[in-house]
Amino acid sequence: MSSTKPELEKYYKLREEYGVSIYVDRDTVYITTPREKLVDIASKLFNEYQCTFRTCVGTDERPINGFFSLTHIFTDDRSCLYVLVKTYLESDDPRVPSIVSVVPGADWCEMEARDLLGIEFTGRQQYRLVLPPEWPNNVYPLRKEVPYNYRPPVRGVSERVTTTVETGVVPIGPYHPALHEPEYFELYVEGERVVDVNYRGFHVHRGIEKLGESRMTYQQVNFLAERICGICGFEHSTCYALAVEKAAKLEVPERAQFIRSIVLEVERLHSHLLLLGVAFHLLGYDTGFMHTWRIREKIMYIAELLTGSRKTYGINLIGGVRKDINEEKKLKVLETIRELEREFKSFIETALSVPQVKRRLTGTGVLPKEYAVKLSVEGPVARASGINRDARRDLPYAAYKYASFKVPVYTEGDNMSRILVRVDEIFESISIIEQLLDKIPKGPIMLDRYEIPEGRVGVQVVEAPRGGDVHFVITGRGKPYRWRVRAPTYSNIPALKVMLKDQPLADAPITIASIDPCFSCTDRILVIRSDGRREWIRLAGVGI
Amino acid sequence: MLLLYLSLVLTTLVGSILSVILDGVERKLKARIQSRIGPPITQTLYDLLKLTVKESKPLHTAPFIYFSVTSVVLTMMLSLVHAHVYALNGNVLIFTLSISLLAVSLTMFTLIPLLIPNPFAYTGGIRELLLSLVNESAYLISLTVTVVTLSIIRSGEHSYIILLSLALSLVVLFISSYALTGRVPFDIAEAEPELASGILVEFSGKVLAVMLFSTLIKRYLVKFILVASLLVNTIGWGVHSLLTSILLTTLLWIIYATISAILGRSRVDIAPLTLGKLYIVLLGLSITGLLVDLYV
Amino acid sequence: MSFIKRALKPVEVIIVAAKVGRVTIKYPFEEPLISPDFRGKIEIDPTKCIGCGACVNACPPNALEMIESEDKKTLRYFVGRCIFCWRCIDVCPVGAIKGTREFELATNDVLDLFDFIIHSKTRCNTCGKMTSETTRMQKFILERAPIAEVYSSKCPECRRNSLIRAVAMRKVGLYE
Repeated sequence: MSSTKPELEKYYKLREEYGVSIYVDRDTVYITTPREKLVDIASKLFNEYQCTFRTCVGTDERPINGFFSLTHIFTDDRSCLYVLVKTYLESDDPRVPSIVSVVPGADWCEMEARDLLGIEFTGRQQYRLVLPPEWPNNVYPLRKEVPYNYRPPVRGVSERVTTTVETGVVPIGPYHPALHEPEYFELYVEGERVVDVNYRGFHVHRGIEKLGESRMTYQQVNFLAERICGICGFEHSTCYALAVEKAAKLEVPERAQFIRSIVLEVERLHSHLLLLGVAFHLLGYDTGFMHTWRIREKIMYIAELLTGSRKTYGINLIGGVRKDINEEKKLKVLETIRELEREFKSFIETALSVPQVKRRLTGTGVLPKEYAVKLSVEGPVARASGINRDARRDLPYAAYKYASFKVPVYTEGDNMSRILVRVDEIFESISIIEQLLDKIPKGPIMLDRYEIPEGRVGVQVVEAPRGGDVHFVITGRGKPYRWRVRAPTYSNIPALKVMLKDQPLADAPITIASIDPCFSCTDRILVIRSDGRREWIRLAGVGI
Repeated sequence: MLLLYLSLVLTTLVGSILSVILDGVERKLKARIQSRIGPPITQTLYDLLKLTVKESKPLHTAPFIYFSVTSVVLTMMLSLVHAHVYALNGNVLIFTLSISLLAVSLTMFTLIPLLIPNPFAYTGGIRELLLSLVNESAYLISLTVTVVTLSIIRSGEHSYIILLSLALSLVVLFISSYALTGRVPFDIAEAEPELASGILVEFSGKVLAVMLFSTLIKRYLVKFILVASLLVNTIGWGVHSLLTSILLTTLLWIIYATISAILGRSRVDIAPLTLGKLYIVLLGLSITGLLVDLYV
Repeated sequence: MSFIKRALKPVEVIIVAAKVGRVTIKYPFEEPLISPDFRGKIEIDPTKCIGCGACVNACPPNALEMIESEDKKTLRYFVGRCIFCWRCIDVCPVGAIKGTREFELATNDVLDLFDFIIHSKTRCNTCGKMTSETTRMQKFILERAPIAEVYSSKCPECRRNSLIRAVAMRKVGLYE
């Protein structure tokens, strides 16, 4: 906590300017502000200090201090700082001004806080986002008095596809061969050109945040976090473990951090290869799909060798990891990834030279840079539109400070550049794994004893294959008091409205797939199992 | 008379069974190119048989659709009969009847999805319409030009221009026949990831089996007419011509299958335009060459 | 020349496929490829298990559950909920749980997926009620901790009372 660091000066200046209280703890700046000053602070952070907006978290702190609280999470990428802006709200009338006019990317997370906690946002149009339309009005699931297995009496209603006279409507979803998870895009088309898009998601709620706060212990939440997503599960569990370790100030052994980073890169390899295969399949180039997934099988075997399971690795615990790497495994990993690099390099040149693939990916689904900045998109979507942001380099965590790698950035913002960013990242990941395996230190892989005190806050951003994933934890007794997950696809979906406009209908599925959507990651806030659950699923088509 | 009955039997057995088996061979070949084992060769037959025992969900304009579907298949089978007979006895009138029946069946096939009240179906139908307009006309024109040039060459006196004209029309013939078979890169009418099966989306059960079967017969027919017309005009007609036609159709099917495995799907605004421009240029040159030779 | 080479590049995929061969196997008739570290179903050794419930505490999806009845404690393992994380193996104090590499667990009868280990509970020798410990747990504690047997055979209530009385007798001189 040195007030002599130059980056922190500008945050201390806020104290004089706005009269808010500032507290700095290692790499996190806590700003507590009254709600009247909230929009001004947000505007200053977003526009002047060029912070990236990540998410906002509503918390029910009434058992502790009688208030609700709303925390906005920003990250200052250039100074490697997390900036948390917290406001307290009265428990009988929680209202707070909305920052959507300043930070358009905050749209969804504010509506989520409204649906789940009942916080009203003034100065904007409010709508129901996360809960189904027939959910009773005064039941707010994340409030502490609502038990996690509460079943409200709901009756499902069936909805019809919108019909308009001006344009045709093509519904994609909730059940569609192009999509792997249920989501609903209504495309308004004129002939073959898309003129507008309407998105309704959150069909796949599983109540993960509420579960993590009620029925699980600290170590058990690791396994729950891993199952938020089937493709990027390990980075969710790593992010959670790092957030809790940051809150409890635990010093995790170096070897464990190295193992975490290596497995994170293995996961990135498999995820990017998966997306490339899916993109080729959507373009009709099935041969590319099969060969890319054949190459991916090598990485799946390595993942199984290192962690014990092809997916949902289950090796993360608070305080370290559960499985070690010995010499024999290290050699096998190195041999396999070198072979993979050779095969993939020659194959991707062939695949991207197919004229239909090139023609259909170039120039479609363009996301211009100013929209990308305003909507706070994440990951390869941002890097393909010219934003140079990568949490592994900007906010280094685990063992990434020991590896040197390039961050690929393209400026066109079309589907092809999103694919090329991922292809480049594959080669970078292979190089990172080789470097880390070379430098891995000896030592224990797990802390012997640790204590997690109550009431501490931990925030961590991890660069998932799809972008920056944020976990926010407030520690409680034996289990987290509040756990908030914001997956990267959450920020990328609103950008689809811009990308799909004025595009031919045939490119809609490939554009949707090019942001690498992971709807399981996005919809994991809350749904309570209800008696009328069957009717609700009939409404949505198919729920997972 | 005997030959006629023989060809009828040959048609119903050879044409149908061969097209089904060849589709299985195509899937196996595609699987090998994709490094996997793939389904057994008789898989398409099993699929069609299984579809016949599934229930059919009724469509809105059902009676007319069922009529159209059955008429498509029957017209195609009739066209196949006549094509076989043509290979046997080389009668030009029978050849003309065969290709007109083919044109009629393709038109009905294109019109069916436009009658179904489902956005995927009529989007697919419009795509099919665009593609058919371009490809069918090119196929028929180039077929005529090829037959005419071949007969001129056979009659003896010709100049080199006619050979060039033959080559160009052959190029157009092969490309348009490939596009007519509805393989990647031109299967945009029933593009599954984009349109949830496009023109086939509302069909199920027996009707779907008949539609799929008609697609297979169309593929066989398009290739057979091409091969038969070339062979009859070069080596003459007869049983040997018929058998060689069947053999060469098989060979052509396998080549087309390999090409479809290595390409991706095109888009409805790109494909017809590109194809159209190509056809107009090549056919124009070819017909000009033909006319020059006839009148000079 | 280079234009033709570029146009023919997609054909290279056939060469790749020819080099690689076939990678899929005819599954039920050939063995699937699993690494030596694969985590499959667990097996609980009934002769070693002491019924302490450490695995039940650690299990994230509650696949392991302890069902208590009047005189028995039953450890129930339900494969349907198991996520094969092997945390139970990590925390078992006696090493009674073993991990296998079995994953082909589909069956027609759901009762095949349950494993039951039944322990009998101990009886307090003072008040006669059943405690919540199992007989094996008692033996485990006795082997490792120097607790006098007079305390270990009581329920926690009676144990506390007799300890208080013993201390009171020594310090204050209470006689009864």
